[in-house]
Parts: sequence; C-alpha cells; structure tokens
Amino acid sequence: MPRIYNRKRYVFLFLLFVLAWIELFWGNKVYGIFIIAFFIILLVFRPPSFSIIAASALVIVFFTTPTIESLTELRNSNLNTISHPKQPLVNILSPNSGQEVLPLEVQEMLALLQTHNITSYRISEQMEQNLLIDQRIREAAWPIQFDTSSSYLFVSPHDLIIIPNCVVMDQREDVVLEYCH
Amino acid sequence: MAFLLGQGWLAVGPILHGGLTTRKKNISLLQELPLMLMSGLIINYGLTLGVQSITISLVVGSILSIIGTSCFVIYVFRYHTRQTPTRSMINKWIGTTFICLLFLSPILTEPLTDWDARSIWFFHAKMIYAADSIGQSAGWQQPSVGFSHPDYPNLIPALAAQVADVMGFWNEYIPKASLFFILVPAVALLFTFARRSISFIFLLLLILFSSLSTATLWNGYMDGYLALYFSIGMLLLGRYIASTQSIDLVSCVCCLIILPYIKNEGALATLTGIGLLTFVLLRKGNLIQAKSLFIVNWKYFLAGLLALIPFALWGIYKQQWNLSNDLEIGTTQSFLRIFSRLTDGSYKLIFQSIYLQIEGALLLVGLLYIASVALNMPFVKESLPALLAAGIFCLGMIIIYLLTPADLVWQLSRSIDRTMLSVNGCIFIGSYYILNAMENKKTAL
Repeated sequence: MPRIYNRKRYVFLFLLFVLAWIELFWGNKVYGIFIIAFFIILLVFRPPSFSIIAASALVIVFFTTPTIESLTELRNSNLNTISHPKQPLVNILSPNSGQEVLPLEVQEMLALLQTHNITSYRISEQMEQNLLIDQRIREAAWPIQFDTSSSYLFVSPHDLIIIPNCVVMDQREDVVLEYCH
Repeated sequence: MAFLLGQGWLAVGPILHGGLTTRKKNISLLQELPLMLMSGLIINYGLTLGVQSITISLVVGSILSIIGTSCFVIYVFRYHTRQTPTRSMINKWIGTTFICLLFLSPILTEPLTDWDARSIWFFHAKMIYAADSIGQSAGWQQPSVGFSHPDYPNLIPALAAQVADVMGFWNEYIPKASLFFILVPAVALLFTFARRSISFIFLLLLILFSSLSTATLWNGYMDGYLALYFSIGMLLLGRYIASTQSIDLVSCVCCLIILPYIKNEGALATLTGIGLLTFVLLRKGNLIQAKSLFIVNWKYFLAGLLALIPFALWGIYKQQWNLSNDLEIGTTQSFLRIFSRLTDGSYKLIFQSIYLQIEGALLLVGLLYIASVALNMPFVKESLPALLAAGIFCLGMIIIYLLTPADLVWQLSRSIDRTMLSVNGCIFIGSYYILNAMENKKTAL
C-alpha cells in the first residue's frame, strides 16, 4: 500500500477520533457515537460510497438545524394563504392593520390616544419597568411621541394611586388615562 | 422591483458592458439581474440619504428607473431575445421564481411581531415614513427612541418607508415587502449554482432553509440577510477560485458591499470578505499582476468606491447628529472590559455559547472533510475562503462580546443565536464545496 495513502489513513483516523472525543465529552454523546458508527460503516464499504456520505450529511442537517421546522412553517404559511387568500389581502391593504399582535395594554393605549387626539404622552414608572409595554407603546404610537413632560399619563388600574394634579380622563380594562395639570 | 432594476442597470450596464444598450460580455440574465437589484438597492439608499426626503427620492428614483429600464429593455431585445434559452436556464428561472414566491407568503402575510423587527428596523422605517425624511426630522435624536439604536444602518428601513409611502399608509404587513426585494437577488445568485446534483439541494437546504431561516428571512430581523449575503459572497469567491470569471468577482464584491447597509456587523463581514478576496487575488498572481489587474479593472474599483458613498454619508450624519453606537468600540473602557473578561474567566462563557450555536455546522464540515480525506481527495480550495471567513468573523464577534458594556449573560442570551448565523452560513458554504467536489469525483469515476 502506498505510503501517502497510509499517512492519509492515519490522519483520517486521528481526525475521526478527535471529532468523536469532542462530541462525546463536550458535545452531544449521540453525535459522538454516530460519528464512530458512521465511519466504521465507511471503512467497511470499499470504495467509500458518496451515497452514504450524502445520506449522513442529510441526517446531520435535519437533526442539527431547524430545516424541517422552516420547511413546515413555509408550507403552512403558503397553504394558509392559498386556501384563504381574502384575509391576508385585507390585512396587507388596510391601514393600521396588524395591531392585534401588540399587548392588550398597548392596543388600549393606542385607542385612547386616537380617541382623544393626543399628541404626546407618558407612562407610569411601573409601566416603564415593563420593557415590553414600554418599547411597544413608544414604537406603535409613533409619530405620537413619548414625552416625560406630557400632561397625558397612562397608568395601570392595578397600580392606580392618587397622583396630585392628575384626574382620570378615560379608562379601558387594562389602562387608565389621566390628565395632569 | 422595476424601480430598483432600472436604477441598477444605470450602474451595471456601463460597468459590465461599457454602455446601457451594448453588450461586451456573454453574461446570463440570471447573473445580471441580481447585480442590477443589488446595485439598485444601493443607489436608491444613497439617493435617499442624499436628498433625505422620501418623496423626492421616489420621484428622482422613478425618473432614473424609467431611463434605466428603457435602456435595459432595448439591451434585452437586442441580445437576449435572439438566444434560445436552454432547458437548464429555464429550470433555473423557474426554481428562482418558485423559491421567491415560497418566501413571499410569510413575508407579506405575517405581521411584524418579533422584538428587534418592531423595536429597531421597522420602527426606524416608521420614523422615516412619518417624517417623510431620513434626515434629522425623523427624530433620531429624540431621547424617547434611544432604545432603538438610531445609529444602525437604514437600507431596509428606508426601503420599507418608501413602500409605505407609495401605498399611502402604514400597517404591520406592507412595509415588509422591502424584505422581498432584498431576498430576490440572493435567491437568483444561489440558482446560478443550480444543477442536477445532491450538492445543490444541500446548498438550498443549508443556506435558505436551515439555520439561516427559521423565520429570520421573513420576521423582520436583519441577521438572516446579513448571513445570507455574506455566505453567498463567499460562495461566489469560491467559484471565482475555480472559474476565474470576473462576473463572480463582481457579484462577490457587490454582496460584500451591501452588508454594512444591513447591519453594523456587516462592516466586519465586509472587511473580512474584502481581505480574503485580496488574498485570493494575490495568490492567483504576483504583485505585478495585481497592479495590472487594478489598472485593467479600474471601472470595477471605482464602482466599488462609489458604492460606499451611502456608508460615508450615514457616517457623516451620525457625527453631525451625535448618534453613537452603544458598544463604545475603541474607547479605553472597552479595552478595560476586554482585559477584565479575559482575566475573570467570562471568555469561557462566550466560547461555550458560540460552540453550542455552531456545533452542528462544525460536525457537518468535519465529517465531510474527513470523508474527503478517506476518498483520497486533495483539499478543496473553493471551500477555503468560506471557512476562513467563518473563523475571522467568529473571532470578531468574540471581541465584540468581550467588550460589550451590557451584562454578558444577558447579551449572549439575546443575540448569540443570531450573530452566529453568519458563521454557520460560511461553514455551510465550505461544506457545500467539499460535498460538491466529492460528487464531481463520483461522477467522473
């Protein structure tokens, strides 16, 4: 057997065991066992088969990446659109559609801003601490801007305390709009 | 789409063919169209930054587009309609169209829901749309928008704002059409590699449907597109090593130039790509040949420099408006943080987190490489740029995590899965080339 081929076989075996060792001790044990099993099969079948290599690569792709989930999502989205095209078209072509993805509190705040033609607002400290509510209202309400000096204050009904110079102007289930002089 | 194609032809036509209605090189439409679209995106963004007004950019862009499209139609009728399309070319077009339409549904029918998409990218689009301007009047300096990283690049937000402006209203669906415009050139470039082979199916699965997807191509995040274009750039560079076709080099550069307009990390990816490209060019010839390469292809280099004008413009605006990046790169504090994290052992957390994200890709490339050794194959040179790019980009991101002023655990948990998409993508490209070489060897036998 040519020396170059022997050297390559040793390199190949060394790399195989390094990879298997990494996976067995640091990574996923199943992968480690898979590597060892895969190459034992590869060594048995002479010459090495491209089909086995391709099949093994495919198994790795399907088991270590979210390929199947992605394909499923794409399939579901397209089937849904094809089966019920009207609603997606209405959504795409309607102004301000899609706000139902926002938290309920934010939807109610937006409704109050629109009802009372408010041009700037602020939210209570407790609401500000909720990063989701804080960021969602700031971006969803734009160009109506969050302003710390605004007279219009949104508070949660659960945190409602008497704030001097502020009166309740309107209310929804999850938010209270106060006007502060 | 015609809006971008027309503007793009005004650059691509003269660069590739020396004119708007003439043809000097035999390049397929499938290779020209993505170049036109990418050029159109950059020109449109540059125009928007230059005039700042969305309405004016649309008007001027439309005029340029009409001129460009008219010339392109003449060019197509003169040269491409005379050629009988081959079955292979028809299949590639059908494949490109099918894949693009496959992604169109989730892009347009799913509302903006995910965090960064709402808080950053499409919030910027809304700010630009509401002010009808990408300038200061958009509100970048308002304290209330500090959470949205106003220093981030705005190629997609500006395009999304233009889409909303054309429609005349804002909602959580239609501005996402901008994602489709940036997806199409990428898919078309991928299909220039199409052939009846297992390796091409792997390429599609790995690049479009595996870790580069999981909604990152339709949910409004930019990380998927950064990874997609970076990977395709390395894919084209790999083909250039084998083919030495200048169109591959030009397309590679175009993919790399668009990266800093997508995300800030794009600048790191561009530098990595350009560095590797230079390395490849120097390896192919000596310094004297490199100098003559520059003299002969001065048009390409000039076009590349012009394509960086929007980057420079946005940099100037950020300086003028005091928009700074929160990473504080280059400051004394950032170096102190690097030193601190190297000495207190935090770096191990970074390495562990990164390994968890790229484990699958490393497993794939490791097994394919070992299989190639078992098949007595020489090292696959085409895979080298992609694998090196993965390593260099990963190193760059490690440095970013070492110097971040935010809590490291929080930063890693929020972003590592997205920042490693580019690393995974490049490793997958390396894997594709190894698999492709094995398949070619099997076919040859």
